[in-house]
Amino acid sequence: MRVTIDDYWMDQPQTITALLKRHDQGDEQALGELLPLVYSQLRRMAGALMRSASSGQTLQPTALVHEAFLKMSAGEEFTASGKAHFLALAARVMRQILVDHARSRASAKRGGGKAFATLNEAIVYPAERAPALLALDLALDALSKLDERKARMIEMRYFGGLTGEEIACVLGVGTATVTRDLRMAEAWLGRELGRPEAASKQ
Amino acid sequence: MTPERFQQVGHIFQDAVECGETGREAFLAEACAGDAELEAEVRSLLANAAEAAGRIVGALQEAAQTFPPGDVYGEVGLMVGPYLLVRQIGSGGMGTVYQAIRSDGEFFQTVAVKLVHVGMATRSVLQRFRTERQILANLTHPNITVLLDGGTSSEGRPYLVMEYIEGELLLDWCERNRLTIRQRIELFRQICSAVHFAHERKVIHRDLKPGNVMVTPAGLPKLLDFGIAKLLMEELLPDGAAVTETHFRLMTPDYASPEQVRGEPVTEASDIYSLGVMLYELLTGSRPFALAGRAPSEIETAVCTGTAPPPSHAVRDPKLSHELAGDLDNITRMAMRKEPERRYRSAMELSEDLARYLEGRPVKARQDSISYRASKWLRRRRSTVAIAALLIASAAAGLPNLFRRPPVSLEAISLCDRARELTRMDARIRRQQVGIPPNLRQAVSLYEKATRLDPSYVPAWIGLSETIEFAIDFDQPRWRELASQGLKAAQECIRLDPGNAKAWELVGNAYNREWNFSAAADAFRRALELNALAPYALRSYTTWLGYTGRTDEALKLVRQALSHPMAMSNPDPHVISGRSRAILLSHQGMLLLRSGRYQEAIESNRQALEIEATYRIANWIAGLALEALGDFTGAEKEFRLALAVAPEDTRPLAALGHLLARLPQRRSEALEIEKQLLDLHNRGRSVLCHAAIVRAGRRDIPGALDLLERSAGDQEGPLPSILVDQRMEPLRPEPRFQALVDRVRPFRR
Repeated sequence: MRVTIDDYWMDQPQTITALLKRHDQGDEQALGELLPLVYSQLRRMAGALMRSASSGQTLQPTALVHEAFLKMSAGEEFTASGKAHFLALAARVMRQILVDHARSRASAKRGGGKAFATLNEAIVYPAERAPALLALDLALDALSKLDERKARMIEMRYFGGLTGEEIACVLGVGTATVTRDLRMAEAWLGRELGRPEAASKQ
Repeated sequence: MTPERFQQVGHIFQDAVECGETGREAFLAEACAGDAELEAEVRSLLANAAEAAGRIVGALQEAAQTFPPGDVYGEVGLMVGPYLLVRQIGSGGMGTVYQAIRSDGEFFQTVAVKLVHVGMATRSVLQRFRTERQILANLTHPNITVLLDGGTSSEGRPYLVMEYIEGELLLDWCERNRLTIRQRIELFRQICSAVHFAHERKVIHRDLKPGNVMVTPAGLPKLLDFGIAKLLMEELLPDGAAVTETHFRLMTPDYASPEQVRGEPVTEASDIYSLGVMLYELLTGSRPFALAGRAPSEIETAVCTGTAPPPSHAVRDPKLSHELAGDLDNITRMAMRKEPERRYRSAMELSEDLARYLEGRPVKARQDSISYRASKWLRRRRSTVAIAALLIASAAAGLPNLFRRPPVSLEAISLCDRARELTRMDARIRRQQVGIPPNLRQAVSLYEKATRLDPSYVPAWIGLSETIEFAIDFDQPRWRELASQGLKAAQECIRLDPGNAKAWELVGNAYNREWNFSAAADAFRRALELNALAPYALRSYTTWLGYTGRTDEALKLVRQALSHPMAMSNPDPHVISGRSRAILLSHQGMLLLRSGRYQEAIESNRQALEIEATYRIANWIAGLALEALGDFTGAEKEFRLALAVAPEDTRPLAALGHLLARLPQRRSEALEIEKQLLDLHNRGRSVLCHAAIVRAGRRDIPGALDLLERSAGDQEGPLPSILVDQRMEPLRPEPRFQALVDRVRPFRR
């Protein structure tokens, strides 16, 4: 509908798909513009995790990243490399979203001794647990100081669900290297997470 | 550990994994060559290798499972149906309330969205939710917040959309304005009328409390959450499990009736009780029972058997106590009787008794006695409030009007629901469409049917008008078949609901389309008086001001909107709600551009792009300003940026064509663009005036005038911008151009 005398407020087309397409065609600048859009898309979809969890299924963040790609690409064809690069970006965004959430959960005030919650005052949170994800995030940061490439591999695999080939494509290495590096990085992270103090680190 | 050392550990670890269990000991001894620290490190990695992946996945799983559907900052910026959540207003056990705007690309309307936390959105729950909200949509009353819409988000969570009330909570309002007892009672009576209206339609509030009443700046009390407590409680509690406990959890015990506290069925009488408590608090500033921090059993005892001190005993000030003693004590007491059947029979009856008190007549809440009547009579004679009493009487006489409206037919509501679904379109489809899409035609006829079923149902008229406007945009040359109907529908909305900003926007829009610009401006001004942020009104009205040489006034309005708390509400650039701010900044840039303030125009659009890098309209406007400053290279870059995202947007396309036409070596490219635009016109797009811009750039004056005249014949929407468009300068001396200017001149009445 045109309300203004000028018509310069026409809605934009599907920005995300257009940006994805440009990114797919090698436009690096598109990436920066894509990031906030991916963030809000993923953040929106992450709300669905709760529902899935309560109905007994667990939707992996990685599945979410792939679903986001399907949604955002809107049925258009993408090159394998374009898709891999997008997934790598989404993996990073997903990590950020989960870490943001875990931080806010860690710092959330416990409900004071209020006997009755009213319709407008109560906030129901799921039962509190120590956010293990923060330990993972810290460990990943430490890992990236020792070997950045391995840390990125973990991020892509675990937060984005990229295949070995996709990771290889993004980093420009062979798939055998990915397999070897991932194994080492996993073992290192697994050990860090297994340390008793890791759980209490926030 | 150093990165080098880490690499060394890595190599040994990987080789150790590959050489298998049997040869591992020997390999490690050799590879570590007595470096005990190195060996320990590798061994600890090997020991953890098996469980490593599980631990990582576990951390992720946990994060995913505890991810709440409504954490505080998280949902702001998300879309729920066509609503963009911009600010959290409140949060409850059942849901979170957001300030939101409807922004499906066409309309912006500020609303409140209540998003329900629900784990189990089964089909039957959703069905019930739908039926209930249709019943609630019947509650059209000036003191009840309108339920506008509702549905299920893409994640399957039910949501309710309510009118957004900019105002203060009841008690805050009374305190801040130091309302007298009389004023408080008058306010309270309006609440009673709303409750009565709902009760007549078999809707019980169940959670009446001062926290559910907002007062608008104009002093109109608005009741929130009508019927929603029931909706949400049923949603959360299938099979009425643990009723009492849950009632405590979900509602405020201070205002709960004895039967509610006991978990017994809730009736209209329960709302009367809650009204009594509310009145008590309004009059005394305190609640009848001190329940804070008490155990459920103590609360039950207090509410079910305790005796609250009468209001006159609950205040310290002797003058106030004297004012409350007697009638008001009795009225409050009668509303709050323990036995539902001994309370006022309706909210109306309570309200009428208060009216009697205000008029100095005997109230029902007291046993009649001759001495009581006589004392009343004497007081009435003495009183100097005759005029006030008259006013009250007339207000009371006006009251039945509120009750006259018959309930909306459920069928009308469901027709509107179906029509609304049909009008939700992808912006991309919308742009490529030629001719009026069939789904819009179908939506128009559904809305028409709804208005015939219930001619006083405002949402049906709004939907009709909105859809017609929307449809016309697809097929402008043939809009006349629908145009007058669109305007009539919008006018009908205003007749039914003069305070509806959106209806005024629709009327303004219809006038605009007919090129009746003064009437349009009047309508937009009304819309802005009702909602300073009404987005289309704001842009259209300020554009109009610009055309009439009042740019400063226009810029002032835009600046006010930009500093409005809502436009500021989301500083986080990672959420899309920055968009409305970007649009405003960009519009400001357009106004600046047209008054020749090019640098400021560029700056304003740069700010818009900082908020939303993909808002390409800002590139286009910045490009126009750069061109005006003589920076052709910069301008071309901006136009191409705009086109990169929206190749079919004819505004930057025309701008680029015009720019290229001015560069002798690139005129063929300009010609190419002109052809492209004319081709689009032949395919049904109203873009003749854009093609004219390119011709003007080529200095083909007669050719440009031809196109403009044809554009005027079609009454193309963007044509009036020739009044201020600098690119039209070469045409200005032409008499034919002056004739066009006269046609679009905004002063016509």
